[in-house]
Amino acid sequence: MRHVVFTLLLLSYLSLDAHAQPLELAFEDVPLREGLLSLSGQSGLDLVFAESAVEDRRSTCTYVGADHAAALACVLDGTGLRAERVRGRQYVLVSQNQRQDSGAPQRITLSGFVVDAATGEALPGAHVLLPALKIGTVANDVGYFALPSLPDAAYTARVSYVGFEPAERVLSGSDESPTIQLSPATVVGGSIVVEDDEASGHGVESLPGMEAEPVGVLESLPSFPGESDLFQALQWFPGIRNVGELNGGMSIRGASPDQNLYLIDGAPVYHPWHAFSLISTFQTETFNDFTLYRGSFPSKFGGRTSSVLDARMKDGSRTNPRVTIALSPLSGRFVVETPATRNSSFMVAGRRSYLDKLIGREHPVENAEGRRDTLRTGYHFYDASAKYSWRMSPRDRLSVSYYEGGDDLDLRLPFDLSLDFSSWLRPTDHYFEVAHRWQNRLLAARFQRVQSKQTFLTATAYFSSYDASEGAYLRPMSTATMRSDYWVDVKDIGLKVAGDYIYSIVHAFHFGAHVILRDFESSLDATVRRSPGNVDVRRQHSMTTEPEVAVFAEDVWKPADRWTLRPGLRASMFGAGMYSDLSPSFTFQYAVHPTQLILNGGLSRRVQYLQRLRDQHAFTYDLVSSRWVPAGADVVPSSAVDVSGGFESRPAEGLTIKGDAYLRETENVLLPEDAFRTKNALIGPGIGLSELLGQYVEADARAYGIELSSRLEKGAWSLLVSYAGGRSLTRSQAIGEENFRPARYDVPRALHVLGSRRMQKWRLTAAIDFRSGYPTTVPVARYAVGDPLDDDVQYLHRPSVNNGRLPPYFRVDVSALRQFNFLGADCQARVQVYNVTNRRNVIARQYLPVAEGMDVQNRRGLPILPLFELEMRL
Amino acid sequence: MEMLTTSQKAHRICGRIGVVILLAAVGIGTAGCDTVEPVDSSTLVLEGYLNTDRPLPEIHVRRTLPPDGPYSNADASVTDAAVTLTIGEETVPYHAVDARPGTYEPARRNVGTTAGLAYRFRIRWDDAEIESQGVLPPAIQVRDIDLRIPDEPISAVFLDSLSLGDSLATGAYTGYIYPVEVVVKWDAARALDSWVRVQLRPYSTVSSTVIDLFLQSDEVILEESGADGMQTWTGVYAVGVPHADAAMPEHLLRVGLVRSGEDYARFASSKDDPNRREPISNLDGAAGILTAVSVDSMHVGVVHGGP
Repeated sequence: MRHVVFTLLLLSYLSLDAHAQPLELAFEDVPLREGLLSLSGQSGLDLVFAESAVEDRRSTCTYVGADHAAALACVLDGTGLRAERVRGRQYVLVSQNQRQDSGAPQRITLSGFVVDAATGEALPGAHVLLPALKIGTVANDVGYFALPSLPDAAYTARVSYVGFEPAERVLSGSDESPTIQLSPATVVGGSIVVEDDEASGHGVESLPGMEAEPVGVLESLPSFPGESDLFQALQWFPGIRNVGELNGGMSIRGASPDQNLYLIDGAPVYHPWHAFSLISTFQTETFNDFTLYRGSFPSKFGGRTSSVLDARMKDGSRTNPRVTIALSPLSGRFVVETPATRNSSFMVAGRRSYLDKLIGREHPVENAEGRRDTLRTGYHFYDASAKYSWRMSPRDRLSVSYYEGGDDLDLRLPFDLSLDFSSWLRPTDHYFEVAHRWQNRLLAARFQRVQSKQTFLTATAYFSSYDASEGAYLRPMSTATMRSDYWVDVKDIGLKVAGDYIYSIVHAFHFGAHVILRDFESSLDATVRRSPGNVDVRRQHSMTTEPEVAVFAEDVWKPADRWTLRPGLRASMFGAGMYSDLSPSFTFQYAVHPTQLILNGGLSRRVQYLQRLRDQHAFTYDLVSSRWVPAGADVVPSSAVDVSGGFESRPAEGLTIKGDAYLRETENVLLPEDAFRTKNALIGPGIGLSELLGQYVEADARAYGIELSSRLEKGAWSLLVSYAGGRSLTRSQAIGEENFRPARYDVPRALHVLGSRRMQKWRLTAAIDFRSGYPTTVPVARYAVGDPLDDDVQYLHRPSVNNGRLPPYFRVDVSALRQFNFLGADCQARVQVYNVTNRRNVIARQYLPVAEGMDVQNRRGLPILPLFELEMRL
Repeated sequence: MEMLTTSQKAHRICGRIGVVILLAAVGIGTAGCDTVEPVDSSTLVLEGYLNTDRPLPEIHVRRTLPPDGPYSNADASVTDAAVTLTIGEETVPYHAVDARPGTYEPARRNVGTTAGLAYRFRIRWDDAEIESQGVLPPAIQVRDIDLRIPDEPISAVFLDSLSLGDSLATGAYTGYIYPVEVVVKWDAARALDSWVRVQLRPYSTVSSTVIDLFLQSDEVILEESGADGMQTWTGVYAVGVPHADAAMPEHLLRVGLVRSGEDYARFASSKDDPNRREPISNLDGAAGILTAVSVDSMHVGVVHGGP
């Protein structure tokens, strides 16, 4: 409530200058321009006219009063011009001859498509500005824009987009949605390019916490370990981080990774991770653009409480075939994009890791006695994606996207491992086998139609699945074995129909419906044989289907040229009526100055019907899988309320500063009941929902903080600095917690600095990653206690969870990129040194009771690593 | 075309907004303040097991010590606590034993401890008052033990830790063991929520993480009687030997049973990993445990060929 009051006070404060004042006009036969200036100066009216239209006209007017329209009519009386109100206090002066037969002023709609001149790709989010009217808008997913209800005239439109040269085009109502091409800015090495300042303040979609970038910008950011990874690049923005150096997923504003929704062309991806979450499945160069909402969501999105990442695959070049081939430390990859016909194009991309090709998947071994065995060390991940885009007509587009990616781990190894292969490459009686496979697949078809200049329809049908299997076989002694086969499967079929009705330049409505059917299935077949008479068998299977229906509507309301308000509502029903929810949202945007300061803020509620849980006991299964549990009789959906506000400023040429403040309160998240439990058993209590839920308790979560970032582009230099300060806390009253405590991913401070310099064909980059250490539980005392069957045992006393913190994390990376031409291809080679200072950051800590007191054992992160990447574009 | 509005107003408002943002940033910037800091405070540690059909037990009252020094029972002992035990209708005061600091003995031991009687421990020390109450569980008794021993040792992996170090070396090696399968039977309780801890303690053993996972010498189970009213449990322990031809060394095996409620089950299930955690206490405001149990144990001499 305090935040709402603050916002209202702020809005009132900003509106002080807009109060009406009495007008007094008294002039005779003065140049019309002079009369208009006098009126504008007194009234604050925004009058738009062509110099040529007023230069030979004169005005006589005597007026006293407060009616602006009457005063304007007085000034224009007898001049042959009339004023047409555009919105708010803005008027356009047009000739009195421009009138329809009906007598009503004629209004027109300007529309068109914005595309990349080099590839023909749509440029979603491109800014279209009519400088004369100070009216702007942004292009939608297919680059389409519309500015309706304008007085009938020809207007110069200024079109701009990050990374592209701005362009101007004269548009009129008679144009049939022309295509406006923007040429990529010629910058060596794809450095960060600040968009056109002049166009930036009008029509820009600026929501609190939103990041929307063309992929070209992200490709220039360092990515570990030299992979083309969208998520790695995103970590240079404030509030976004990989939760572990080598694993764990992406945490946004301290939330759990399962509270993020990942979308590819409108279809969800449930487990977008490779290599135990070291890198993501989002291969940067296969995408055209992305938008990350980490504050207020538009109402068209739902289903998660923290953030939404909405990425759009490339359509494929519509001009010339392009081939990109690259090699990085982990994988080789390619992207092919080409026009297929005059009106269609496609993109095909693939990536595969090659470590298994280097060390081999199978190792036949033989000992001196002639005994043979085959050990296995297979691991690889892969991605395959494709998209076909067909412009069926100037108004209709159809695209079909496919993505498949997965990991395959296949091991048969002895227990006595070491880096010295020769020591264990021998037949062995005691070994373990691991067969883990996890995979995402999605197929999405999207039809988009310009129904009329003011109406745009999108229908998306998709199928998305995530399946993972974990097999294990352990044989540590000749009479004892453990075998388990575990798998989980999520299937998601959805249909989303959405429409945009651009009613006027004041109101644009977005509305739609989303129907989803999800299947959840899991199975466990495990046998532990300790001795002939001690055999545990666990066979369980669970399957459930849950529907979800949502409808949403949002009004993009621009009551004045500086203001944009977005009231929205999302209504959803989950599980055949078991749960229903109304989630309102409201955001505002106020351009204090079109280039120097834009303010935004928002208040929204969202609900999450799925939670990702993991068995806390068994270390032989449920290791890498994401097991999603739907809301039901025993699982209440979690919900969050987010209040956020921010600003965006371009105080000087080449400098952009953004800031956000946020508060998010989340209810009904699930936390482990026993925070100290580790996976230390061969099999757990079972994979049934009741056994799983018995390990968790309901909790509340709270996150708040500020985020600041600045980008500076000056000559050959570019600098990106981002800072995030905030807290992420949890509290479970079910286990007696009265106060909030630090959440697992609570990081009070994080600072990123990224500087680069271009020198002809070179680009040198240095990056600093600094943040507070993660919370850890520190023993505060020690004691001894006994048992009827045991002697006293000493323990370390840990009365509260996450009462301490690991040392700060600090890392410096440097890279050098060289562009060159080889056999007619544009090539670039990048050498990156990860952790150049070789600081061994503490990433986990364990406290052990020893006779002398307490032994602290640190687990450290990666040392200095030289990495390389070679990329060739044909 | 020309814009008629002046930019001065915008700049003026810009200035105001700048001040607002600056103040907001300073205010909210404290969001990043980290208030996390471990607080060291001395906590009471209690230990007492009231035993069905046995004389009243001693109770240990200690406190926690700083974590970074050697542990000493003498330093940890609390000698000025007020301890009482109410059992049934009878309240028995406890007093400190001077010769053993931290140990409290009842004023009289011959008080009835029949199964089903209610009890309440009450300890006061400084400003703390700790209570624990419940019902005495049915008595338990080992009815039968059956051992199965292989004729010759088997090879097995010995592994101290499952976590890999920076070198990826696990430190595993191969040795020989006799895995001994033990079947234990006792009369099952008819009460709901009756938990039993079964423990095999050989006085000659091996220790290895992987081996331990495939052995089962200590388990806490929820009682479910069979058709004959007996509860049967099968466990496995191992005896290490130096080579493949070695005979199993003669040794002593203690089979222990503890019957209690859920409090003790949680305590016993969480007490075996002191490197990572402390046992779950049933006390509000103190560590340790005060509860009622019934205990029985049997010692068996084991030789190759049977007990």
